[in-house]
Amino acid sequence: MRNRRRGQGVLLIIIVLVLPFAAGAPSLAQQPPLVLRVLDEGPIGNPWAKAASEYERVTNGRVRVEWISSPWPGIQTRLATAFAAGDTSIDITKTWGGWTTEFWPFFHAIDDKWPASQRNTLLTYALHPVAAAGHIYGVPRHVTLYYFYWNKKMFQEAGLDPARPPQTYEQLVATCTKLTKDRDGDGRIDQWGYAESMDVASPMLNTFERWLYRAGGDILDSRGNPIFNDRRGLRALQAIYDLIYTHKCIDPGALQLGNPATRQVFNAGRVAMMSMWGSGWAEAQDPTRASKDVIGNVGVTILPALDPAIVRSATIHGSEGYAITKSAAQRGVVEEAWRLLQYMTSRAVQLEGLKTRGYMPPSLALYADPELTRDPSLAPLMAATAEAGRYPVKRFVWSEYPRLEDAIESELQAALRGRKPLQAALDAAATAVARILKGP
Amino acid sequence: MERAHTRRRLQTRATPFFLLSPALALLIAVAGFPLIGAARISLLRLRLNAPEQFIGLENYRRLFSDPKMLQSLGITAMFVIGSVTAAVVLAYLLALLLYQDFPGRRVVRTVVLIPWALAPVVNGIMWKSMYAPNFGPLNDVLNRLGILSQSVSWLVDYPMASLILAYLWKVLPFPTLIILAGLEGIPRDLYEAAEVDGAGSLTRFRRITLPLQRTITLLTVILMLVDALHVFAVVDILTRGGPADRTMVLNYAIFRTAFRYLDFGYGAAMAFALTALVLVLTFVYIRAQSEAALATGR
Repeated sequence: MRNRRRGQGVLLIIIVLVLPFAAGAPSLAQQPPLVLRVLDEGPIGNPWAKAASEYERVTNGRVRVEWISSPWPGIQTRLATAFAAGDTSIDITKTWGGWTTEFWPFFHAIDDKWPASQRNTLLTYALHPVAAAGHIYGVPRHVTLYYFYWNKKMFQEAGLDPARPPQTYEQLVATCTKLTKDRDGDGRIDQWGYAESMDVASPMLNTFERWLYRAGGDILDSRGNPIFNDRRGLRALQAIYDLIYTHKCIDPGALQLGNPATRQVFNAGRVAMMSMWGSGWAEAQDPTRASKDVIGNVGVTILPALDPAIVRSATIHGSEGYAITKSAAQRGVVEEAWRLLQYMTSRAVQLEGLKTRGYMPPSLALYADPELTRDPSLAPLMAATAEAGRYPVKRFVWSEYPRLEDAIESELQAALRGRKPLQAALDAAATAVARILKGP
Repeated sequence: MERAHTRRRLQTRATPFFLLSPALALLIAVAGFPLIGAARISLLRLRLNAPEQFIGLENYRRLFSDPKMLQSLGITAMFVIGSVTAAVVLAYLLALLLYQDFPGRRVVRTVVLIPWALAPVVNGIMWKSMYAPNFGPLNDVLNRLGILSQSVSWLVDYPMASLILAYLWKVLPFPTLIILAGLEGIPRDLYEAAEVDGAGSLTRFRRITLPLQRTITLLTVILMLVDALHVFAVVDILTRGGPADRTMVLNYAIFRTAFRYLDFGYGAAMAFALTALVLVLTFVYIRAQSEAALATGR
């Protein structure tokens, strides 16, 4: 009897020990998912994060995407610390020209995956964010440029033709002055004519660049010497300064406004015109972001000329994309990372980015797609992008970009706050830039 | 006999070290190694895209010739003096108020703690919208009250004052709590006796509160000093050291050098300079207070 009980006990123990293994047997045979780690903003509101999540489903769980979320400025810090520490936790990272120029030694070149025939299907400047030192390191996801937006209703109220936005600086000044007013008669200006983001690291350098290129100038010459303090640079800075202080049609508070805040004041109907990324268009159509007087009343076009004799317009053409890191190559996941990026930048995802957030697609074919060019909610933006492409200016990037950016912005801020003569500020910035470029 | 006695004495002396050894090992692992690593980095020319190079004390020498560093020191001094002075004075006022008996005192004491509980980033974002030039509540309220005739760009025209205010709002509950705890420790009968002797409230504060709060005040100043020297989040969100580097406090300059300019060696040297500064200031202050206490016989 005792032996029988002992036998039952032993059997029970065996069952208890073996059962989990037996039950787990199929899962043991199953391969664990391949994990790809992507560093980017989001995932909320990020169409590429949504696509990455869809990709997991498409691959039936064979690939799992870990989204390493970081705000824009944090991505550079994260990359710097990860690469400096030899951390291999990032396979794919969001990048733009500045970061690629800075971090390309840590990216994996994938030129072989980008035949010339495929590159020709993109806008000319689309590959900027993933190209450096003669190699391609990833995939562009959208192109970035500044547009000119105007509120047609405010134009009408001021007796201006809502179909004719300013095309020259003189027209901009005249329109801007007319649109700056005290609407409620309390002695305070509550509607400003024009806004551009000029906050520190908004980045203000971009604002200056846009005027500089329209003045025919450049940041550096072909030998890499600073030339932005020449007469063209002065003219560009003077144009901004005059709009604020001479014509008094930009709120001096713009020096404190970044891009999101500039969009907010425009969408709240407190500013009649602004220069902004493509996101300005999407937000001006969004009832949760724009007031009812703004929705449906916004026009978009290319930036006005500073001097039509020099150039009709110029913007800063750039783009953002994804780069594959060397860590991914070390882990042997480049092929899978490439497939994920192909999916994330597919036509469908480009369209969603365009429609929901105003991210302009890098694919050339989409700009001729009748479905898009006839869509009244997209056509003006598509047309403005195509027209801006006639005046291409590559956005300034350099390996020491953050240092150069800070050096220039610091002086521009001093000048635009009236603390330094404009030429003196430009000269000081040029000296600082020359010192940085010379190296330690 | 003698040998046994010596062994026992050694054992007695070694026991505390033996008991402390796990904690010490942990401390060395989590604090010691990174510190040693950072000290090593400060002796290198370490840029992300260049091979590392041992340069001895060059980074430290550079500290003294770098005009940006000297400018940053001045800005840090301005921020620290402004914020610590204001924090201690306001904390005293607030603590004295909370020390009084009034209905709902407990609720008020709890409510006062709320800013302290906020994450520094949340505090920064909140003040960023408060200071917004076109639609910020601060401009709006001051305009409605007729104090301002036109909106002010706080972060452009008054960046340092704006920074100090945003920082103060967040940290003020901390010194208030310390000072309040000190006030609670002063016997109330001292105040009653002084009142009987005809001492007014100012005299009572000067003759009783301040002398008995000397240690607490010292502690508060030191803690606030160290905290203010380490300010980061509010600078990062409100001004990023601008405009034109006017709020480039040392801690933010270190971050910018190391993680934005990727000059890790010089950034590490700057960090050690800041640490040395904190230690020296603390030492000087404690010494001064000790001498003052000796002189007054307290």
